[in-house]
Amino acid sequence: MEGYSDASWMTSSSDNKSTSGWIFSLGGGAISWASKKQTCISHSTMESEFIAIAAASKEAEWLRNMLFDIKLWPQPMSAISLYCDSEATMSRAYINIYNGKSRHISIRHGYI
Amino acid sequence: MKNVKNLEVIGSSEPRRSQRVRKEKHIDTDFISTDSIVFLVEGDRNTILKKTPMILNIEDDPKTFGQAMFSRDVAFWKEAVNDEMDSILSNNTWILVDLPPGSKPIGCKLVFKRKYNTDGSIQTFKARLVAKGFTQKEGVDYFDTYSPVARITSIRVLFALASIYKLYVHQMDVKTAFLNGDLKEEVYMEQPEGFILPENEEKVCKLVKSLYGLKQAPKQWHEKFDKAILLNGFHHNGVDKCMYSKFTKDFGVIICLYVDDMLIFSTNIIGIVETKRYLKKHSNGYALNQSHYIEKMLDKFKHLNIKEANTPFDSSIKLSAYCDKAVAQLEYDSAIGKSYVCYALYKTRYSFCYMQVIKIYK
Repeated sequence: MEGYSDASWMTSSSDNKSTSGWIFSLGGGAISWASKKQTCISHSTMESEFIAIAAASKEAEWLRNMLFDIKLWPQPMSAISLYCDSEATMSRAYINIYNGKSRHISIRHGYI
Repeated sequence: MKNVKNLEVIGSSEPRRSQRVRKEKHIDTDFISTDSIVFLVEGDRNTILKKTPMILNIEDDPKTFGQAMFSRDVAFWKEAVNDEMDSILSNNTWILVDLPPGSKPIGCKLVFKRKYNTDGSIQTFKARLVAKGFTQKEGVDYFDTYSPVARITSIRVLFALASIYKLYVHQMDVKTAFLNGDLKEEVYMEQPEGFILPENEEKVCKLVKSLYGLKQAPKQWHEKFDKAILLNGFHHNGVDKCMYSKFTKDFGVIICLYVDDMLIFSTNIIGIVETKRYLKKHSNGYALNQSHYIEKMLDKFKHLNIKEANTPFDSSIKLSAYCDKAVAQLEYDSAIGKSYVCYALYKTRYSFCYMQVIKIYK
């Protein structure tokens, strides 16, 4: 199972919000997808990508819990890989430093 | 800058409106109203009129019992009504009692509907007794109305799993599902028009089982199904309460419930047969009817698994090198769509993020 997330920064010109999107595929077909306007304003592409990846990992967690209860799936479950096309976002996700600027995006998951 | 903004806020007393330009709706001369039924029939005017004369001189569905009894198709309607009343009475839906003082019975109504085949010919005549649930008061006649349904994503996940593990998939639907739910609240209903028992005109029906139109009907049905299925050793899925699974050493079964439709996934055919037998036994012998076989769909999946296909519209997914491998999205999608026709979801419409929209109507 793979997940892919992407975001585009400041797509809505009237309120400066970005759009995030993600899709999960299993066995060659898409099973879950969304494209949504983000609820908080991000200052950079990295931040908006970050919000997208957080939303995707939320969904990943749900899917993981569901598959966990279906006993067909091999146990213990392997991690769901989540792909993101932004280098900055990835490094931000790996480093656990809080610098006072990112409180609004501080919820994150370490699935990657 | 800040001051200017503040002034603006104070100055504007009018409510905020959307900036979108409003357009007048343009109605064509050959505009077809939504009430009419439209069929596409091939051929010229004369042959069509000869072949299917009923298309053009069809009556509206009757609105009331009286209208039905005076319509041209009175025989069909009578049969449909008798059918419905039979199933209700054999189910012991109500008992006749005197109306206790201070309580008020809710009304009921027979709803008539013709069902059409795709070529415009009439398939069945249907009558259904519905309670006038809109007169029910919260806290008196009903307390809770919430009934969960399966999430669309979980259905898709199950289909994907079915393709990976070569599961059997069956679809079932429950006939008159809502009549199966037991009613906890005390609800009195007037006797249905045309079926008032002589010498009992003053009495009212005290509902024992739920009826279509009652606010709590979907909830009661779900509760009953839930109880029954858990007794048989099924377990809830942790995240989707409408998914039940049971794994024994012989077989594994997963059931996905969507109001009165259910999908049964199983590792082998024994599991499905066992499950069906249990459900049939449990629902007083009349709940479940025919099942559609959608193994054809699984065949399609199988061939999908070995096929390498590159899809022209996958630009969004090509974030990594992986996706050259068998992302036959279109076929997957059509397979899902096909099964949904069987599944008869209520007016589902899902857009496939970027490229296609599949519309299925019940």
